[in-house]
Amino acid sequence: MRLESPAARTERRLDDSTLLERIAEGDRAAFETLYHRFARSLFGLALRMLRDRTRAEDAVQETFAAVWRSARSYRPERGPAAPWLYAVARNAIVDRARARSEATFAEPPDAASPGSDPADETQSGYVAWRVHLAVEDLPPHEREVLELAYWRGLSQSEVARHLDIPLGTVKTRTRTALARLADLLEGEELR
Amino acid sequence: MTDFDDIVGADYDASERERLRRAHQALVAAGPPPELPRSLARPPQPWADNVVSLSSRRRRGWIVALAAAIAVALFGLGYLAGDRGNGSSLEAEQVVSMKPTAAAPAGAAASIDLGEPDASGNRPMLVHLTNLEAPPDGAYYTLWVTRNGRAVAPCGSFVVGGHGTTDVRFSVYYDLDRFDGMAVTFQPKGHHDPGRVLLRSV
Repeated sequence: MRLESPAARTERRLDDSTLLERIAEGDRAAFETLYHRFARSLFGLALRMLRDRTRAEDAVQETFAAVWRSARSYRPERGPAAPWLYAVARNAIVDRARARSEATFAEPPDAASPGSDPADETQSGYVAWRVHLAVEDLPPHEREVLELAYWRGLSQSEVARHLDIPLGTVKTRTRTALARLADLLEGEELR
Repeated sequence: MTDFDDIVGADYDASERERLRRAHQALVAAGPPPELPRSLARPPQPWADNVVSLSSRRRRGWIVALAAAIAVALFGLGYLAGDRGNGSSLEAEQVVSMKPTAAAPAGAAASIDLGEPDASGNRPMLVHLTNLEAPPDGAYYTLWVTRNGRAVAPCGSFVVGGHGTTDVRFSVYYDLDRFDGMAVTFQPKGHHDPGRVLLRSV
């Protein structure tokens, strides 16, 4: 459940760049709005990259502390807010990852541990983050069918039963949602 | 598993179908975002967190000098008060003040008296803690030395009984000049890497 103040609800219509500009001026309501807009997806990003809930929570807190401190450095003419936020979050996540490795006194291993390439992990983390943001931007009735189908594993018929709407409507909404999602993600490298 | 062909059918031309397939694959690969934990349900209030970085050497030197002056004054006061040699006092060579982060309970504070290293190089420290909450079963707190804001080595772990003041005594062999700060973290049960920072040195 998402809780927010009336002031934050008013701010919800503002775009991310405007919010950052307001935060740079010390606007706390804008900060709260930006937090509610991005916290969950940033937590997902941090969790994906750090694989540790406590550290991911810290990274999210540190990200927003850094946003408050550094919003003045955001330049809308250089690009949209999301990549700037991603860069801030990535720094906080990398800091938490370094803290983990510095906190252990064991000698470094002789060979790299097997696992996925960090560059691939960063890329997939970024793409997942953008997908989560794009889904948030969908109209609620389209978001609902996508979440049920893709993230709760329901078949199209099960979605129809769950929402008590015709199967054809589910299929239409899902296709429309996919097309809108493709628009939102246009330009992103989806691999 | 959501079946792309079942969703999209055969109504689209090849290029649109490919575009939709990329969106479909992105959704599958991304998976659902996790629910926000309770600790993140409300935004932090960074404007209330006046933690000062210790990264500047100049600032650090100034703080150490101030801490030393405070330590001398406190020692003098302690001496005059006749409070010598009991378990909650230490002949402080330096005093480190700590401030709460946004994650700390209201009113949390700490200061650390650093004693002079003994002949073997072990340095005693007495940590005065105020208003930390009693941790849940199996959880505990850890004091770390930090560098550039990152936990580097633990000084010791402890629990507290609840609100009020707790004094904890540790001894470490680290050369504290190699570090630029200290932090107290909350360590959930079974969690040994640095947890959430509740208090940082100023």
